[in-house]
Parts: sequence; structure tokens; C-alpha cells
Amino acid sequence: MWLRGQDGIIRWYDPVTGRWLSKDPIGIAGGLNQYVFCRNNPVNFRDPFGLQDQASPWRVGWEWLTGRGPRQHHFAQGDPFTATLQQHGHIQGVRDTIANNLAGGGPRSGRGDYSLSGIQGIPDFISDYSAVFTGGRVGNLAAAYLGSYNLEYNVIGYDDECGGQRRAQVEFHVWNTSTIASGTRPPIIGYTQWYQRNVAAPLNRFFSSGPMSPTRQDFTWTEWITY
Amino acid sequence: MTALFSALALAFSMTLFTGLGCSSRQQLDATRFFGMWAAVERNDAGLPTIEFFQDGTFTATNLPLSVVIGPRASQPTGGGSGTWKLVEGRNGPDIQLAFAQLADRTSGFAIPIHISGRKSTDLRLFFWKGEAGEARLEFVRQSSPKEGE
Repeated sequence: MWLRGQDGIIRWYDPVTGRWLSKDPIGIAGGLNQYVFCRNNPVNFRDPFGLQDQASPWRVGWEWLTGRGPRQHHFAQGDPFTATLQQHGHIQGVRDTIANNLAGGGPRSGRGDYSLSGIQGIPDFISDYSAVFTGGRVGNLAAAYLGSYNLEYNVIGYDDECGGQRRAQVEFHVWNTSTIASGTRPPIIGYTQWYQRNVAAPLNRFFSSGPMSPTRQDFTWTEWITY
Repeated sequence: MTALFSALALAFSMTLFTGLGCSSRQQLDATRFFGMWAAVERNDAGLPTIEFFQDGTFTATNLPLSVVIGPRASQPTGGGSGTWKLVEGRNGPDIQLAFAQLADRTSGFAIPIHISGRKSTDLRLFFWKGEAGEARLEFVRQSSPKEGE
């Protein structure tokens, strides 16, 4: 038998032996053993389309550094990388902005990019990167890998019947491209046009393939926000 | 000693940062932005423009939606109108654009446009084309507001 996703057959499964006959379609991003399902923990994890991406920030960083592995990851709701990113303080700030917009009749969609530019970027950089040295106990490991990232939000539904509270269902999309320039960008001056033209762009051209060449990460999830 | 080197490096960066004309914490008057601003580069639809009016509204045309909305924009370019205001961004003032409609986003779209430069002659508005630090889509002033606006 097979597990069928929206676009067709995703994985072959043998119900007699209870084993997968084909590898996980996301490759080793879900772990080195490509014949397991939901990290062998189907009670706490689900993967309705057979495409859940279990790659950690460490793994994505290693793939970028070595040039091996997928050059693009699509992280969805429930993926560990997504879950860590959702805990980033900036995301909470975006939630607050959305709630204020909803309460005040403002725009229902918009951008909420995270930037490490300027002087304010220094304490944010230190805060995010503290996760690297503390194993994620403080800071945010997802943000430490991503650095600055782009975010778009879009209200896709409402629920006015929730105990008298108004709620909106919001879809988030975060995207980021890892390049040699973004990975080595110094604070403050690294965000100037001079640096972009004279350092970052030539660096990225030099590392256009192989190790430290561009990799892309996309994250999508939905949340209910009370306002 | 390490702390001293760090402090010197930071001071050096900040000096370069200021000297290169990036936005810094500064008080800006909204009147400095009234009028028409045009992008320094065209796209297939034409020249992107944003016009700020004194009543707090604006109109925008020919914006590259992959930059403004993101990769999930359904059209390559588009325009719209809405309200604008100066807000305190992470590195100084930004202009918060609240589109009432932007292309097919009929329920509104909010995005800040950043400010660089301090003198009128080098004042620029810009969106990052990718993440912060990458190339910019810059706008320069084309005209001051007409009389009576």
C-alpha cells in the first residue's frame, strides 16, 4: 500500500511487515534513517503529506557550509525548526502588531521583517546567538541561524464565537536565503550600500555554487490570534 | 585588552556607518516627505512611484510586488493607496505605509519603507529587496507638494 499526498503517491508502505518500502521524500533532512515516520513518535508528531521536514538549524547550517544536502527547505507547522522560530521574540512582536491592527481596523496583511541592521542589531545579534553557546537554553537557535529574515502575514479567517473573544486565524510565511555575505555580515557597516556593492555582492558571486553557496528556507504556519 | 579592541572596532564601525549616510536616530518632520518619489530603477510596468499627500494619504504605482509583498505575490507589479505616517523604526524613523488595497490584497497591507540620509539632497526611501543588508529598491524625491494640497 502507499501513502498518498495531494500530488500523488508519496511513500510505499508494507502493512505486513509494518515497514516503509521507500525512503522519506524529504531525504536526510528528516534524519539519517529515511525509513522512519514522524521520528518513530506518531503520537506526538504527524505528517499527513509525508513531507515533514525535521532538519534542525544545525543540520541546515551544515548543509550550507558543506554544499551537501538540499539547497531549499520548506518547513511547515509542527516541524521543529518552525516551532523554535515561533518562539522568537520578534514573532511575538508581530503578533502584537497584528492584534493592534485587527482591533483598530488596520490592514489584515503585511510585512514584519526581522532585521539585525543598525545599532539595535547588536544586542539582538548577541541575544539570538547566545543560543549557540548555551544549547538553546537562552536566545533562539532558529533566529541564530537565520539572522535577518523576511516575514509576511495574512489574516485568513475569523472566529467571533470563542467565549466572547474575537479571534483571527493568521497565516505566517517566513523566508530566508543563506549566503556567504549574510553569514559573514558585520554589524552596522555590513548593512550599508557600500558594503553590499563592494563586499557582499562580489562574495556571493564567488560562492555561487558548492560550499557556502545560497540555500533557501521557507516556513509556513497558522495561528489564532486574540484581539 | 579584548574589550578595548571590541570598543575600538565598534567605534570604527559607527564612524563609517555615520559617514556613509545611513539613517540614524534623528527627528524628521513629515513635511520633508510630501510630494512625489520615484524609484531609481524601472521595471516592466514602468517607473515605481509613491506620492505622499499632506492629509496623510498616499498613492503608489508600479511597485514590484515580489519586493513589497514577497514571493507569494500573485502579480509581478501593482499599485494602491492608503495612509502613511512616520513611525520610530529599529534604526530611526520609518514611514509606515498602510495600503487600503495593494494589487489583489483588498483587505489592506502594512509595510514600512525605510529612510536613509539626513540632508534633503541625499534623503532616500527604500525597501530591502531581500533580507536586511541586501540590495535596496530606492526612491528619490521628484517633486514637492503642489500648492493647496
